[in-house]
Amino acid sequence: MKAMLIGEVVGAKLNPSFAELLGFAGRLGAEVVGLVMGDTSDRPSFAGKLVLAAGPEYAPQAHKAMVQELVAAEKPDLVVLVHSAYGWDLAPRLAVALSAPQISEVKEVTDGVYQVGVCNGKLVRQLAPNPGLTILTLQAGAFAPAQESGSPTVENKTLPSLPGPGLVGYKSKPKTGVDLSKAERIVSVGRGIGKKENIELARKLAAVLKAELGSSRPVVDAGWIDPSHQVGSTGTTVAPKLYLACGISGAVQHLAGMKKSELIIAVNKDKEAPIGEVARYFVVADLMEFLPALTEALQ
Amino acid sequence: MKILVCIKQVADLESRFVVPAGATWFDEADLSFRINEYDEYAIEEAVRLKESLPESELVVLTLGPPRAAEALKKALAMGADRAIHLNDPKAQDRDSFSVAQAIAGAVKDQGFDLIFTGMQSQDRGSGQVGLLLSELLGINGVSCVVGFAKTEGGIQVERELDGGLRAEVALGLPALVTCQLGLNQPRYPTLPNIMKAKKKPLETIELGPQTAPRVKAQGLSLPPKRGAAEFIEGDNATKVAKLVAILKEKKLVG
Ligand SMILES: Cc1cc2nc3c(=O)[nH]c(=O)nc-3n(C[C@H](O)[C@H](O)[C@H](O)COP(=O)(O)OP(=O)(O)OC[C@H]3O[C@@H](n4cnc5c(N)ncnc54)[C@H](O)[C@@H]3O)c2cc1C
Ligand SMILES: Nc1ncnc2c1ncn2[C@@H]1O[C@H](COP(=O)(O)O)[C@@H](O)[C@H]1O
Repeated sequence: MKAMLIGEVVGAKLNPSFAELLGFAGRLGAEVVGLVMGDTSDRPSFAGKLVLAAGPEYAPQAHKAMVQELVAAEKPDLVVLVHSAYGWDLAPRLAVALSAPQISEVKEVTDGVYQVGVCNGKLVRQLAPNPGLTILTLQAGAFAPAQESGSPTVENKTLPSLPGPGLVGYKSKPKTGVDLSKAERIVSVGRGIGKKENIELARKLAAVLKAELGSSRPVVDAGWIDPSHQVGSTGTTVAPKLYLACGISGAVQHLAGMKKSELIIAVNKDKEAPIGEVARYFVVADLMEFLPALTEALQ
Repeated sequence: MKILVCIKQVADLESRFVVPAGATWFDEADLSFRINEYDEYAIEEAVRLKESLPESELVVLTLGPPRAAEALKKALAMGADRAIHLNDPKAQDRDSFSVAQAIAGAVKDQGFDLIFTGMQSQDRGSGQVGLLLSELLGINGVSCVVGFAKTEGGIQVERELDGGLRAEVALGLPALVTCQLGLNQPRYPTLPNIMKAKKKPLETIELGPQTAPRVKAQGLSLPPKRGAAEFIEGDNATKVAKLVAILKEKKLVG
């Protein structure tokens, strides 16, 4: 078994998630060919072969061509990327170019059958690709990173210059508003809060608990709260003593930002909401009734 | 400008899903269906573009079972001009590649300048169909767009990366973009527009039998109960009292 692992370079840095790809390959006992495209001086440590392709870090047509060239030479069984903005953007292009089955956001594998979450993590699907080369993206955080060890043999290449989408530059979200990363207590609201006005119910509870107010993404997207409150993979990562998740279903991108909290309590009317996977206590309740009553009892 | 939006109708995710023994998809009886959330952003962006370029035509397309026609009607009420329904009662048996292939077959000769899709479907969540389609059509494609602008001869978009970073990407037409949450504020169809939509053309194309999928579904199950959540249930007063006791025990309140 041979796995080609494709690293992600952003701002000339190799994303540390490359270690998760190595961890996955290690679990399968696969021989590793690493491929890092873009200009970075970061070098992962592992035993195997590392191909460094100099050139732009986001140029999907050039990256696709490089993978095609390398797949022809190395004949891997798997091409593996992290399911991130880089991975989910490149993988389907590879699936077409290489006529290979693609499986997205894999969170577990046994005997060539891959498990992926569907319906917001409420169900798990078991998928088997046709024989031959398979393209995989791995759910961020699903596979334990490998310990760094060994040094690969390095081969240097240069990306071809091809027409297609091109990177103009990067832009950071302006950092204003609250800084949740150091908060000790967070009361967080999700779409289950229903409408903007109802956020007051959570704000009052946060005040009596001396907590900051957090939120899931849809609450920000709807314009109900300032983006600085968003917890998750595209928001802030938090690890408070108390995280009270109110009307938040527990999508993986949300969990990525808060699962390290010491005590997670969920309030949700749906007992099957996946937030139950990380919560210590799960209050099955309607927020409209429960939040005001809890606030009053604590006053 | 000819604009296409691809949308999928998905089950309401707050549903209680039941998987019959041996089945590879959930039982759809008694569930309600809606437009995939990501695709609402795609429709909105396409409608805004059409409004800014009055000579444009905006087509909305779905591949799905008969129920999916409802999603097309809503998209027409949001501002699309006409709709195409690739009808397949067994649509859920298709893998993402087969969906993209069928859509590519239906649109390849129609000369679309811009195609909008969602970045992922909420039920399947593969995040594949958009870019598979652009690759099959041989046009530019870019995923996870949270900012979109038409430029001279092309488009410039913002792609969302992790932790608040965005990449600005420029591409020429024809092009496909996959839309991420927060790209815009999708509108609600107004009653007059719902009435008007009833007169807009909705073409149904029956799809032939499916070819063998590249990826076979072997099963569908509830996730293993990993957590050890203790459920707090009962009447409101009981639940409040229990939670207060827990917060006190953990010394989170005085
Ligand atoms: C690339 C990418 C990045 C993302 N990044 C993030 C991120 O950083 N952060 C993030 O949060 N999301 C992120 N998302 C979105 C994520 O996938 C989910 O869509 C989102 O987290 C869902 O938010 P929610 O739980 O508030 O809403 P929903 O999933 O709609 O859940 C609402 C919950 O409220 C419950 N509810 C409804 N009414 C009531 C009531 N009256 N009382 C009690 N409970 C009620 C429901 O049972 C349900 O469980 C990202 C998605 C993608 C694709
Ligand atoms: N059956 C379908 N019909 C039309 N468009 C679809 C279909 N399935 C997926 N799409 C489009 O492709 C996007 C990504 O879907 P997926 O690859 O399933 O995550 C969706 O947001 C839709 O825009």
